[in-house]
Amino acid sequence: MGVIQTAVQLATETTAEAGTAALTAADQKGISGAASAGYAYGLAAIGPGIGIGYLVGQAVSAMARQPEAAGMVRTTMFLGIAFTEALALIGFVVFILLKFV
Amino acid sequence: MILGALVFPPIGNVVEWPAAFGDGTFWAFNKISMINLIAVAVTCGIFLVARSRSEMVPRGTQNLAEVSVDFIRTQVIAPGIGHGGEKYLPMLLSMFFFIFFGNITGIIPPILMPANARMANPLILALLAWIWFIGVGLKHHGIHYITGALFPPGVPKPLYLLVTPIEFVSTFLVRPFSLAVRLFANLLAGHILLITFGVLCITLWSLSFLVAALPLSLFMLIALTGFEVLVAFLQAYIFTILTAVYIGGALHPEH
Amino acid sequence: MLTAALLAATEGGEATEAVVNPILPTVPELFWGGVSFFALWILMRFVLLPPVLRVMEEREQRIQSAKSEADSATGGADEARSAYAARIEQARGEAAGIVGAAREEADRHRASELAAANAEIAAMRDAATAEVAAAKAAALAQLRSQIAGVAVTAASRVIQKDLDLDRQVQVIEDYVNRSGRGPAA
Repeated sequence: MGVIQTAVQLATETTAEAGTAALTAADQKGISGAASAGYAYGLAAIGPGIGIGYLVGQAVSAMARQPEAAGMVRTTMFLGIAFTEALALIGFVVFILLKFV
Repeated sequence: MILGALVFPPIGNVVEWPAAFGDGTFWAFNKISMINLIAVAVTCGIFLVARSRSEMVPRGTQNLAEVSVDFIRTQVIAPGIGHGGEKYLPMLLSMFFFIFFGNITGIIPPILMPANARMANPLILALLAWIWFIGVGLKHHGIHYITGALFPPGVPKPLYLLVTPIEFVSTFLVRPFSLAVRLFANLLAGHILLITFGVLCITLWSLSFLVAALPLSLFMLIALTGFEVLVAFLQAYIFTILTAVYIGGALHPEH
Repeated sequence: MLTAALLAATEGGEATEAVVNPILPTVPELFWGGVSFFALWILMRFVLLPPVLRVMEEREQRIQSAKSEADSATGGADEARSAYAARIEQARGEAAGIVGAAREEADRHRASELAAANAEIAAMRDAATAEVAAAKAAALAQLRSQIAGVAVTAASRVIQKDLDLDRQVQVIEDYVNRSGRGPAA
């Protein structure tokens, strides 16, 4: 967390130095939000990335083991992906909120 | 700065649309509403054509309608609800078509805007699914559905302090929220991705040496368009089957 | 040029940027989304889906009836085949009976023919044997009389007197009889 805050502050400071006019509070918030948006989405994508990889790998090995159960495994796999992916998508929503709102 | 021209349009310009008429009222009609009506019209068209030319050996449009009915039956109702799911066929079928056409408009050239990249449609559908599965549970099991969901049997009594809030949040709050957010965020992400590469293509269309990177960007744009077709179908399927799973869980809570 | 257009679009959007929240739904969109979906649902429930379902149902039934018809036809074919096999079996049995009877008949016929032929052969052989015996006896008698005559004539020539022919004949006959029996007698 400390690293992120430092980075955010760094980004803010460099932007502040680059800009000539004085920054309002809203501008400050926008800049720090935009800088942390990338971290938010990047961190949110790690877990679901690992999870979906593991899930699909297991599903493929299950399908290879029992091709006759492939349909059922595929349906369950999509459900699992949907649940896992939701976390990354919430991260994406947070990204949108930080970046654009 | 060479890439100084690379300006991403503000988010309001790519997801918000001005009203065609009725601006400021609750029935302000904009592009999203138009896409909704198109989705309804196309679905009606498919089924009406299928009805007017119903033959014993299905072909063309009739085949499409019957394949979709068969798909919902075998791929959504059978694994999701199971026994007694046939009567939810109209709702799930219209849900599937509504979501699919709302998604696929994101890559159809004159429209290029997925209706589900706005929160309204996913929210309506998710709330409907939420009301529906709770209603099914109450209708078939009465108040036992709520108590059974909140106090799952076979758990030691002190653990209910922990289990009941988790069950309440996961069943009655997270489900509609995640349904809506999953659809919305997938489509918005795809839409923004397509816009990003589109903007990149436009920016690289210049006389500088950077035009050499244009084919890569264009290839990515085309590949992502293909990927969005997959996403459009998959998200419609996932939304429908999750609704079916929730209804099935309310109908047969013992499973 | 495209870049310029993009920039123009960007500039145009800046006025509304402050009020835009890309996450929250707006009331008109909720309204139209709800209206559209419920319209589609109601149409699907009462207008669009039932005919398609009915056609699918009819096809299912037709397939079922055709299948059961085919099943019954298969059953009929099986029956016909077994009846045919039974008839073949019966005909084969009859044929076998006919062949057996014919063979028996032929055997009997052959046996009777054979017996008749054997009897004829035996009769002919008996007749031939009897003929041979008669011829032999006749030849023997003739020979005996000739030998007696020659012998008596020769003897009378030798002794210069007539011999009583009857007595000599008796003597010669005795001799011939003995010689005819051979030395073993």
